[in-house]
Amino acid sequence: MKRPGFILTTLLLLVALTAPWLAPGDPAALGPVDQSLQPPGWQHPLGTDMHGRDTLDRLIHGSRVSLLVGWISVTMAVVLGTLLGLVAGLGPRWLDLVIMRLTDVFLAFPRIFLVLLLVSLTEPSLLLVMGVLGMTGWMPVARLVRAEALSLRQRDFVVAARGLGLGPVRVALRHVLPNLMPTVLVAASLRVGGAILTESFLSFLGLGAQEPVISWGAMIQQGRAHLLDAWWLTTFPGLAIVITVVGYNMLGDELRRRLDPRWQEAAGRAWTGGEE
Amino acid sequence: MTSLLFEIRNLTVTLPGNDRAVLQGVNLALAEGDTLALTGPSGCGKSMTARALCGLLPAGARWQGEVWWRGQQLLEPGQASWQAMRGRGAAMVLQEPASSLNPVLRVGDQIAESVALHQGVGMNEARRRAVALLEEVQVPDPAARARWYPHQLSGGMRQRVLLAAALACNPSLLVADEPTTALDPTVQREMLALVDRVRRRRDMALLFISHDLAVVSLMCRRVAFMKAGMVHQVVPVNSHPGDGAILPGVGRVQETLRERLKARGIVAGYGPGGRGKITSAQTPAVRGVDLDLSCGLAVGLAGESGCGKSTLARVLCRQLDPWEGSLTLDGKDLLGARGRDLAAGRRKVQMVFQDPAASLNPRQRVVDALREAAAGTVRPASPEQLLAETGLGPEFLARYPHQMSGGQRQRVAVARCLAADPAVLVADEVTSALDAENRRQLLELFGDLLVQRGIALLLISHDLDLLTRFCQRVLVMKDGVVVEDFPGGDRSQACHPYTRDLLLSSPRELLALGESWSHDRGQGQSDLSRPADGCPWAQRCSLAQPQCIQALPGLVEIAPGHLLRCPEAKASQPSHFIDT
Amino acid sequence: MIRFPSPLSAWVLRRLLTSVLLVFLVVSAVFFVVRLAPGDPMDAVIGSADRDLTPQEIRDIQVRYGLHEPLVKQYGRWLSGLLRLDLGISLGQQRPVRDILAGSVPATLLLTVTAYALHLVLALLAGVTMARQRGRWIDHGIQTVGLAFYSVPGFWLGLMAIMLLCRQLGWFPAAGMHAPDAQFMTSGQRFMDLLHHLVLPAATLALGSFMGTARYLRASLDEVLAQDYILAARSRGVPENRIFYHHALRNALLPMITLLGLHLPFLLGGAVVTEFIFGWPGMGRVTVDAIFARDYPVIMATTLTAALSVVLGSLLADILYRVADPRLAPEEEGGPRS
Repeated sequence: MKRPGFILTTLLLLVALTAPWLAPGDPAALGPVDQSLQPPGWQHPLGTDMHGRDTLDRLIHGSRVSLLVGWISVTMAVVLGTLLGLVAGLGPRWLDLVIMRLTDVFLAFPRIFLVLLLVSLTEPSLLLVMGVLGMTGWMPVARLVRAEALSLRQRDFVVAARGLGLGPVRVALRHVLPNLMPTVLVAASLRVGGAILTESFLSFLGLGAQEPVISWGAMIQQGRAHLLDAWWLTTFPGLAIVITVVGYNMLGDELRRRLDPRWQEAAGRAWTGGEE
Repeated sequence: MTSLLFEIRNLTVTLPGNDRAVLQGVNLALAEGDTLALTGPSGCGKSMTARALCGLLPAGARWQGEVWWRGQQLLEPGQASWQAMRGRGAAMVLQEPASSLNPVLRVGDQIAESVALHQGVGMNEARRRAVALLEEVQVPDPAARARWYPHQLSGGMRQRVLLAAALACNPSLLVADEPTTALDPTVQREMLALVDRVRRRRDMALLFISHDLAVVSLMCRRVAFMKAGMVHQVVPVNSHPGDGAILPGVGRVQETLRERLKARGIVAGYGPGGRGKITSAQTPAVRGVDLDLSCGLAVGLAGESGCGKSTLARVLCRQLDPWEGSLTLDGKDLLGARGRDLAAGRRKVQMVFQDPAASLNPRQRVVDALREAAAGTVRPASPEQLLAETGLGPEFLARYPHQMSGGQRQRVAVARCLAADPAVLVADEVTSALDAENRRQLLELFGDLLVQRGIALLLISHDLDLLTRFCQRVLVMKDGVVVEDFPGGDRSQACHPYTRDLLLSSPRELLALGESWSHDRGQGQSDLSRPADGCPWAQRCSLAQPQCIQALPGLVEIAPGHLLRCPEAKASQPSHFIDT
Repeated sequence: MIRFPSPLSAWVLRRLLTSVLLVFLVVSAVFFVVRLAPGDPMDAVIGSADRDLTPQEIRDIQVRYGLHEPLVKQYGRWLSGLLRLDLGISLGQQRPVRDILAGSVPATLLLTVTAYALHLVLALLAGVTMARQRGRWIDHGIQTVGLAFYSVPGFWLGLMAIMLLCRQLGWFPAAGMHAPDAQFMTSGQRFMDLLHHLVLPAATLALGSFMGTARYLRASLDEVLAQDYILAARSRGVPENRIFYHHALRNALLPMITLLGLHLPFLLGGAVVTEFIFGWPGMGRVTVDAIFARDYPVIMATTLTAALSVVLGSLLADILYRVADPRLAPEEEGGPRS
C-alpha cells in the first residue's frame, strides 16, 4: 500500500531531528555582506536574505519550531479533550452538562480570536504559543470522544463488563478507551496541520517564537518587505508550511483508512466470512 | 410446460478486495409464474445471487457466466437491456424496511415515481395509481398514508409500501430478499400471506430468499440449498428434512426447586431524560411483572418487539433501576445494594446477548476477557476450564473476537458469564443471530448448564414456538404485562387469544394448515395505538368484550402452574381458537 | 390567551434559552479572561505614555476607565453597558468602541458573505464531481488540488496573490476596499471598484476552505449511495441520474445545513488573516491592530462580536435543519409514531 503521508511526515521529522548536522553553524548569525539577497543558485539553492543567511539552512532549522509546536500543542489538546470527553460520556449527568457547556463556550470563539486574545495578554514566546494552542484545541476532541463514549457505553460488551461488577474506572480504561483510540489518533493527526498553520500566522504577526529562534512564519514576515526584489524569501517558507501540512493531512487520512472501526469491521467480516 | 423466465448459467462473482469468489458457478432457472426459494446459512451467497440477477452487484464486482432473461442473454451490467429488465421484468423487496425507503420523500411519491417510470403516465395520474397500489397491499386509509414520510409508518407498513413500489412496475418476477426477517411474528404472517395472495392474483414468478426453511416451504414450490457460493440441490419443498425436530426437548423438572431470583411488581422504563435512549415515552415499558427463577429450571419469556422483555432483562441484571417493585436473590434484596454489594449482585445474574460480535470487547483476547471476568470470584476458574465447559479448545485463548465465527463467539460469551459463577443466566434473543445448527448446539449447552451447574435460566425470544419446546415454563408478554404463564412442552394448554395468535403465526404451524394458510385473515392493524387501560390485545381479539378495553383483567391461576390474564378464554375450550 | 406551543416551537424555545445562556457565559468569559490574565490593561496605557506618570495621573486614568472599582462591580457595569450597546472607550483611539465596530462590521460581512457563497459553489461542484467520478483521475485530481489549497496558510496565499496578480501583473489592487479617488466616481463606477477590490480577498478566503466542505459532501454522498433505499430505487429501474440528483443529493445535502453553523468560526477566523494581508478595513484588521496596541476594550468587543455571531449562526442552522428534515419536523397529519 502506498502511504505518501506517512513517508512525508517521517522525512520531515528526520530533517528536524538532524538539523544541526544537515545545516551546521548558527543559522541566526549574520552572513557576509556581499552575500545578501542572493537569488537561488548553486551556492545557495534557495537564495539568501538581506543579512546574507542561507534560506535553506534557516528552513531546516525552522522545521523544528513548526513540528515542536504542532506535536506538543496537539498532544496537550488531545489528552485534555480525551479526558474531558471520557468523563462527560461515562460520568454523572451533571458533570456531562457542565463539561458540554464549557465546550460550547470555547467553541463559540473563532479559534484565532481566542488565540490572539490569549497571546496578547503576556510577552510572546514559543512556550506561550504551545500552551495557548493546546488550551484552544481540545473542544472538538472532547466532543468526538464524548459521542464515541456514549455509543460505546450502550454496546453489549460494556454492559457485560459492568455486569461482571467491574468498577467505572476499569470499564473506562480497559473497555472504552482502547476502542476509541483509533478515533483519537485520527483526530490528532488531522489536527497537527491546523496547529502548524495557526503557529505560522502568529509568528508572522510577531506574536510567536522570538529571535533568535527561527520559525517559518517569521521568515515570511521578514520576506514581506522584499516581495518584488526577493520573491524566494516569502515563497519557500510558505511552500515548506504547505508541504508539512499536506503531509499531516494525508497521514490523517491514511490512519483513518487503517484504523476506522467501520473499515476494520468490513475487513474482519471478509476474514471470518468463509467460516460461518 | 410454460416457458423459461430466467436462467443463470455458471455464474461466478468476485467482489473487490477479496480474492475468493462469493458465487462459484451458480446454476438456477425459473419458469414464468413459478416459485423458487433460495436458502442457506448467512454469507452463502443467496443475496448476491438475487442482486446479480437484477444487475445490482456492488460497484467493482467482477462476474463471469451467463444470465438469460426470456431467451435473451444479458451481457454487461449497466446495459440498456438490464435497465429495462429491472423494474419492469424483475422487482425487488429487501430485508430492511427501515432503510429501504428514502427518508426525505413521501411514500406515495416514491411509489408514484415507479409508476410514472414504467407505466408512462404523468405525475398526477401516477399518484392516483400509487394510492390504488397501497390499497392492493392493504394499507389502511391509503390516500392519507400516501402523504406520510417513511418514519411515520411501522415496520410492517413500510414493507407493504415497498411491495407496492415493486408492484408499480408490473413485474413478471418478484425477488424478495428476507422480506420478513426484521418483522414480528404476527406481522410476518400477514406480510407472507399478502405476498402469496398478490403473487397468485398477478400470476407473478417469485424468487424468495430466506434462512428459515419453514417460511420458504410456505411460499415456494421448490427450494434451492446454497452453501459457500454454490447451489447444492434444488428439490420440491415437502421433501426436505425440517429443522424443528432436532431441537433439544424440555428437561425433566426436579421435585423440589430452590428458588433463587424473585421479582415482584416490576415497573420500569426509560425516563424522558434518559441518555442515549430514543424513547421519550412517559409510560413504562414494563408495567408490573412478577417472575421467579429457580435452580435448574429454564423459563421462557416471549413477546414481540417493544413488549418490554428486554427492559425486564436489564432490570433483572441490575443494569436499569426499576421505577417500582422488588428484586431478591436467595432472599437478599438486590435493589438496595450499592457499591460492593451491587457489584456482587450483578455478578450473580449474568446476561448473554443477542449479537455475540457486539458483546465481546474487540480489543481484548479471549484469555484476558475470561481472566478479568473470573477475578472477582473466591476460587476463580481457569480460562481453559471455562472454555472446555462451553465446548471450546485451549487454542481459542489467544484469539481476538474477529478471529472466531458467530457460534464460537457466543460460546466465549457464555464462558465469560460462567466465569462470574452466576446463579442466574439471562439470555436475550441469543438464538436469532445463529443458524439452525449453531442454535441447536447453543441450546444443548444451556441444557447441560441447567443440569450440571443447576443454573436458573431465563430465555428471552420472539420465537414462542422454540420456547415452548425448550423451557419448562413460558411467560408471554404484551405491552409490558404478562398475559399468560403456562407450562412448556404442551402447547395445547396455552389459551390466551394472543398466545394462540403468536403460536399460529409460527411458519411451522402455518405449514400444518396446508393450502389455505394465506387466506385472508382480516386487515393488518399494527398501526393502531393500544388502549390506555385494558387488555393490550383487546382491539384485535375475537373474544373481546366491552369491559376488556376499559380495565386490565387480572392474572388468575386456572390450573396448577398456569396463570392467565383473560376471563373470556378461561371459560372456553382452548381448541376453539385454532380455526379463528 | 397563549396558544399551546407545537413540538417545533417548544423545541425552538428551548434551543433559544440555551443560546441565551451560552451568550451570557461567552460574555462573562471574555470579561474574566482579560481581567484575570497576568497582564494588566493598565500596563498598556501606562506603557504608551512618553514619561513616567505620577500616582495621581494613574489614578485619574483608572477612574476614567472604571478600573479602580472592585472586580464584581466592573463586571456588573460591563454587563449593563452591553445591554445598552455600550462597549466602552478605546484605549488607543479615544473614541467609543461601538463606533469602531459599526465602521468595520459591514466590511467583514461583505467579505465573508461573498467568500462563503464562492466557497459553497466550489464545494458543491467539487463534491458532486468527486462522488460521480469516484476513483477516476478527475476524482484524484480534485482531491490533490483541494488538499493543497486546504493546507495553505491563508496569509501566504494572500501574499503570493499580491506578489503575482497585483504587483507583477497589475490585475487587481493590492490593498483596501476602495480606490483613493473613489469619492469622485459615479455610484456605478464605485460599485465596480468595490468588486475589483473584493475579488482577491474573497477568493483567497474561499479557496483556503472549500475543500473541507467538498470532502464532507463527498463522504456524505458515498454513504447515502450505499444505503438500501438507493439499491431499492435502482431495483425499480430508476435511471442513474435521477437516483443521484433526486434521491441521493437531497439526503446528502441535509446535514450540510448544520455545517453552516460550524463554518462561521472558520470564516471569521480566516477573515482576520485575509483582512490583515489585504488591508481590508474590517473587524479582523481592527482586531489585529488592537492586539498590537493592547487596546483591550476593542479586542474584547471584536472577540465578543465574533463569538455572538457564531452562536447566532449555529442557532439558525439548527432551526433550519429542524425545519428541512421531515424526520425531525412536527407531525402534520397526526401520525401515530414520532
